[in-house]
Amino acid sequence: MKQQYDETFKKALRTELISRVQKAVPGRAEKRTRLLFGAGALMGAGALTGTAFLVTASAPTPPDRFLDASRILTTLSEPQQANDKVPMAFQDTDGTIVQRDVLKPIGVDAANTRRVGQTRTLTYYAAPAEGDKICVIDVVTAKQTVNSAGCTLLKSFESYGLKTVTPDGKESAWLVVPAGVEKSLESVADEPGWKQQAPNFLVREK
Amino acid sequence: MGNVESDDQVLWSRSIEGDGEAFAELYDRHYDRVFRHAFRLCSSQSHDADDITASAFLELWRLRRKVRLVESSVLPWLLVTTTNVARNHGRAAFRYRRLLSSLPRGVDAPSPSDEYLREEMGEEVTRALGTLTGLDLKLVSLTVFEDYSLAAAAEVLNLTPAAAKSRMHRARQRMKKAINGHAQAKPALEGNEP
Repeated sequence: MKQQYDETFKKALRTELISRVQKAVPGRAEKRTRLLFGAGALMGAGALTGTAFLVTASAPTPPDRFLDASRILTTLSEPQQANDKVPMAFQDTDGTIVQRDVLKPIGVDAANTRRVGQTRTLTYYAAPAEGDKICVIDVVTAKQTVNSAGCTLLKSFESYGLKTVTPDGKESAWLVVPAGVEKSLESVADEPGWKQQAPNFLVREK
Repeated sequence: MGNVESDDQVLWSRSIEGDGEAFAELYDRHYDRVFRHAFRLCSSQSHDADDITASAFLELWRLRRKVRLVESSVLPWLLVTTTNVARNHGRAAFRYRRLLSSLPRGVDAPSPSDEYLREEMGEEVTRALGTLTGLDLKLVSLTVFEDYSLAAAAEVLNLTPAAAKSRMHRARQRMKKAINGHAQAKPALEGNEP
């Protein structure tokens, strides 16, 4: 298709918009919070119901644009183990346990999940997803039901990582790039309780 | 719901938190469709459509606290806003006049793309769109040109599904009449020529 618009103008506007967004929220580089998969989105995806996890992100690591998830999830180069598998079930809003592949709707191949860590009540898994994304899936350990999932673009991962926090704020987990652990911990120095549980997986429990 | 739609939700949340690159990604993702919608509505020059498109994205940021995602996408809101901006072009342009005039433009040469787009849209359709009321125009734009379901369009426009269906029926009738009326008027005018 031929050029439809004034490319010069479009680029200048893009720069102007970035500037406006960044100016509007002072201190944005220190900490950000974002909702990755609220309950509505999950219900729309047909994957899960009744869950609403906040997924937060910080900007502690240098930019990198690789689209290979194994640089974040290094165990992807090894065979999937039994404890890497995400249970194919979730708890419906009425309490019923529903047996279903909840990963497919979010573009995750169940054979690619890897266990990354755990908090008091949740077990966390990560996996590459369609569309050059990476997802973190959390499972209620006691019930072996998928609780929630958050995904982000791999190309953006270096800047933000993937951080999840339970609605009560008592359990948090944070997948970061291996080289970004130190900076990530520094960026949350004012939030006591963060600890490194695995080479690039941080958790916090209150 | 596809992953792209989920991404809009992620990017939008990041934008609200002040992530300029996330907002830029939304801009890149939806610019073409917003521009084409603006061009369809203004039926004139690319530069008008450029201004309308710019105003729509600036409004997206200015009114960010009021923006509602439909099917996890900001596009329906953007398209509705583009319709508003196009219909009130003078007023919206005034708000951003200083900014728009300060942004650099490409060489102002006759644009083959204008003709290309005009041919693609069809003058009759553009004229018929002009006969619709604001709300009906938004409804037709979302469902006919942007392939949103009537339910999704109704949601973004705060209409009940029944009201949307009824409006859609009336809008189709009106457009049909406008197109047929023009086609019938044409030979008559030609017949008056010496």
